[in-house]
Amino acid sequence: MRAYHWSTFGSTQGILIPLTKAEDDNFAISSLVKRTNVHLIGLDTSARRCHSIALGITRKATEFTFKEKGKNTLHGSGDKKIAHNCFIDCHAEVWTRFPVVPAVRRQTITSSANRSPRSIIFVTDRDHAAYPTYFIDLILSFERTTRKPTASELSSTVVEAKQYEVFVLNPLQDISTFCAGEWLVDLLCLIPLHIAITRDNRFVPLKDGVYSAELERSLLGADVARIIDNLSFGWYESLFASYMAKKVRCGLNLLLVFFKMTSDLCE
Amino acid sequence: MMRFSGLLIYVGEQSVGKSFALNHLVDTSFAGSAMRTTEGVWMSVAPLEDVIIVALDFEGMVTFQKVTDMY
Repeated sequence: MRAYHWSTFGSTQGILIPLTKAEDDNFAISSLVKRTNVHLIGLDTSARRCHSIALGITRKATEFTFKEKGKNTLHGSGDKKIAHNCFIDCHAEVWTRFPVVPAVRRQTITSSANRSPRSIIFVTDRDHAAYPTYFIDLILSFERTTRKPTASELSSTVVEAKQYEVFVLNPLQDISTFCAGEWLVDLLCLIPLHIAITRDNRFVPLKDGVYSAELERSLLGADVARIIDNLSFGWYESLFASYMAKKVRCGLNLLLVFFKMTSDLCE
Repeated sequence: MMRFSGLLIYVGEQSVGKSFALNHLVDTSFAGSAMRTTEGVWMSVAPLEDVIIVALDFEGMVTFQKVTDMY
């Protein structure tokens, strides 16, 4: 049986699920009790038997798709082993989509004295020596193919692999410590705020992240001051308040201009 | 009205890499038009030592004729 993800149907070969030889002459796919319990149901009329195979759909949607990009072979002791390393390869997906060294880096963590180097510990029972080597190869391949500036951000990552018993018995050393407020601000800056939606070629401000027809009506023909009073930037309001002494640059003024324009066009 | 000394406007059609470029410029994490249902204006903030950068990602906007007339 071959299964496909809806989003990649037609562009991939799908997922091959080997089935044992069955005498069933009728097959159906259905769900039992709830839609996520998907079964391939077969009916063997001669043996008067019905049986099913449960299909496990573990995630409806993933931010990063795990794809098998050919088979990587790991040579060890003369045997050829097949290796699937998507759990490590996904790091390269992150480095590709987001900056490693941005042109302008936010400076929310100021107490840098207690920052330890990034480290990844793979807890596994085999091939411990292979993990650091594979990760270094991943970094080199990424730098070669994307040509993105990385400085020493990636190469300074400490990569280790340990047995579970060793990991449990040895408490983690070199853990970074942050001021809680700085860490929270750093986290909030990772979450963009949806402040308006486009509708009929205009911008409609959202109220607390949700479209409100009443708000839209009330802002028709409004002046900038009234629009300002009705805008809320959620958790960023607290950030702006705490950074009040600093100048706010870029887009805020332009945003107000757009809302005013939209409001004028709707009159 | 706030006065500002620098303005960066990033506009363009869908899927040309606006969010990607904005992320790499000011260290934000806009998802971009990969999420089809979230057109509109997204805002993110990058505090620096002496200034805050406010980044606006405009998704799904068709025309800016009036803006070019004004500026």
